[in-house]
Amino acid sequence: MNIEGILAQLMEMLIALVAAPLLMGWVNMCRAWLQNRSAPPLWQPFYLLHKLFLKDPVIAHNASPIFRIAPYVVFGCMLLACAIVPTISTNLPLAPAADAIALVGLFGLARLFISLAAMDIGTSFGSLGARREMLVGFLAEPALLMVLFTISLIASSTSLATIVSHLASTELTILPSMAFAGVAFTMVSLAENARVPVDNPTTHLELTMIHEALILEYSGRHLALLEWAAALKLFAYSCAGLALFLPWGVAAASDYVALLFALPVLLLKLATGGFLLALIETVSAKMRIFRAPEFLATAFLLGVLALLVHLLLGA
Amino acid sequence: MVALSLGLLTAMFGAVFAAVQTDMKRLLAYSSIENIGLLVIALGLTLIFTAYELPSLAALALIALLYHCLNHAVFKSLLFLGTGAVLHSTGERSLGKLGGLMRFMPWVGWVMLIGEIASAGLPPLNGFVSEWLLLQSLLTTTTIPNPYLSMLVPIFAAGVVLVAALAGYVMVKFFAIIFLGQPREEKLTHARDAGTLERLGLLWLAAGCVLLGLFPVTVIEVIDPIAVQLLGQGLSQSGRIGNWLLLAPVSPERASYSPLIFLLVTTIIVLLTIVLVHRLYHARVRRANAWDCGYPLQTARMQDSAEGFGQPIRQIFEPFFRLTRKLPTAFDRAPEYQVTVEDPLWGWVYQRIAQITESISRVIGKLQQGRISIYLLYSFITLIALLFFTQA
Repeated sequence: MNIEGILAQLMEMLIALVAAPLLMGWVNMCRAWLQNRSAPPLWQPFYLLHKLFLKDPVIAHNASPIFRIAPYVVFGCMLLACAIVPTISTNLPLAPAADAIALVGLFGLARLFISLAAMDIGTSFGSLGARREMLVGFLAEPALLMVLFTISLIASSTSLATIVSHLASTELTILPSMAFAGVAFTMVSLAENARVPVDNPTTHLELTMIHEALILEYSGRHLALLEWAAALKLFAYSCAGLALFLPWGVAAASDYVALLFALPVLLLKLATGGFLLALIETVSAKMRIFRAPEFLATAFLLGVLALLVHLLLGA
Repeated sequence: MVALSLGLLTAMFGAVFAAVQTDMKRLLAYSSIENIGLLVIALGLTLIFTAYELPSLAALALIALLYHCLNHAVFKSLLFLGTGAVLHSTGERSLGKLGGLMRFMPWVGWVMLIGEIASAGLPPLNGFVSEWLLLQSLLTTTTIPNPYLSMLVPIFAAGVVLVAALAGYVMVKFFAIIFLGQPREEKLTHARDAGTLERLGLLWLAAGCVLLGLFPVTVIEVIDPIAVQLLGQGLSQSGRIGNWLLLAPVSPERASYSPLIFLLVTTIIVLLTIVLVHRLYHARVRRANAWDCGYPLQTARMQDSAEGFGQPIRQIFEPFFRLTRKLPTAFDRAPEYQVTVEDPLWGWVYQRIAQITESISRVIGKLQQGRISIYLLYSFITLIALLFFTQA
């Protein structure tokens, strides 16, 4: 652990905090353009967060302390996840604390807390959302891990920093297993981040909600933290995807020039990724909740296929 | 290989059935089946590695096995004691009649939350450590010289992950239905929290969950001699489990996990966020009724029940269950809804065994005629037979 490492780590967390809402705003902007609407400004999510922080949170009479600490825990988990994923540098002091499996565990912990908080008040929509979130979660988690296993077998490591530096140092070859894994990862990310086709982030109809039903009872600063955490989660997933499938441009240990260069590359990659996400969301429709298991089972099978392809062909 | 398949099947079976249970003790019992399945998987891995003479990997799998045994002993005792406390103070073990106990039994509630996170296999508590070790040893199987095995075993890793994720589902259901929401029965509002001795009993187990989770390397050093005794090689001999902070069973480049840093950083972020948000903005809170979506009538019975929470699992894994359903139609005068979920193994295995035992005992029962002359005949025949044997 050295001073550059700590600086890189802090910078990465700060970038995540700022860039995550911007990414959200960018996706919304692209979607508005694609749907022929006039787009909200890029920093609209910050206005929203500021507004929510100013408001008084309204809490139900029978809420337990779990309801009040859950937003903070979820936010903490997501920020830690952003800190572990190598976005601009692989020299991260926090990276050895948790590998890819622990990262999935971290998302699991956040999901557990938010589901518990949703069931805390005891309204029908909260528990409906919790049930659906856990359903999507337990199906998406194995698929995600299959993808990570494939990549960790290629890099013979489950540590994210090692994987990224291994992948970035190899020359550009398109591995068939990585192609399968990439598709599976995209499907899982869509499901986990409550995007179309599994969930609709802009829905106002309670019956079709998954993520929105979970946070239906939240308001004020708690809601702001949860919204921010959702943005961080999208950011973490995008960065993990970029780091795993397009690892070029991430700075190696304590290289200042590369570090300066890494940020614009990252922003460029994120902007492209965000546009593609908006495109996917525009051209597809939300599916019924019981089609979601089929969708995620497909992702899981693709993950297994990727693993088998890697083991059979060694590629 | 057989052990692996058997273990995976058992674990899947336990997890799926735990998800549809409505009785809290039965739910925990099925969850134990799932954990024992995981143990059998670890055992199978140990055997495979030993057969291919890879003692250090065998040691890793064995350590995962022993660690999980220890963890399961701690968190399952905690959960069972907790349900005992709930049962004691409410007299109720059906999940459909509990709810909202967090407010009336906060002690038991918080301690059970720890047990729940541990048992769901989530970081930074103990369940995650052994799961992590198991997954790591499943991922090292590509070094096995047999190509079929090295290909099949990572598929088992996928199964293990599915089981672990299902365990999370089960535990959310278990905790949320008992402790969160509104009380489903009037009498629950009089539930009393655990007494001092009960608290002590729960607390030391919860502390066990936390300590086993936070200091995995120390624990592994303690159980390592067993691996040395059984396999002739342990993990610490090669000096590879890392220092006390960082668990790195193969090498730090390959994989490492540090629950203590994990917990510390999360706690720091959480505290900082609380302070910053309260300083920069405000710390006001308003209390109101829960939002009713415009429907004025909201009762505790409208919450998700244990059956309701398990419904997606029932739908997805339908072929595994023996379901008897009675669903109302729109025209029923007195709508009635009833779903019974049964375990097919109960019919196939246990009832068969019971039938066979009964038919055998019926045959043997014919011996007993209740007349002394027949019993004398038995002893006479036995005597003749014995004499015949000694003669020959």
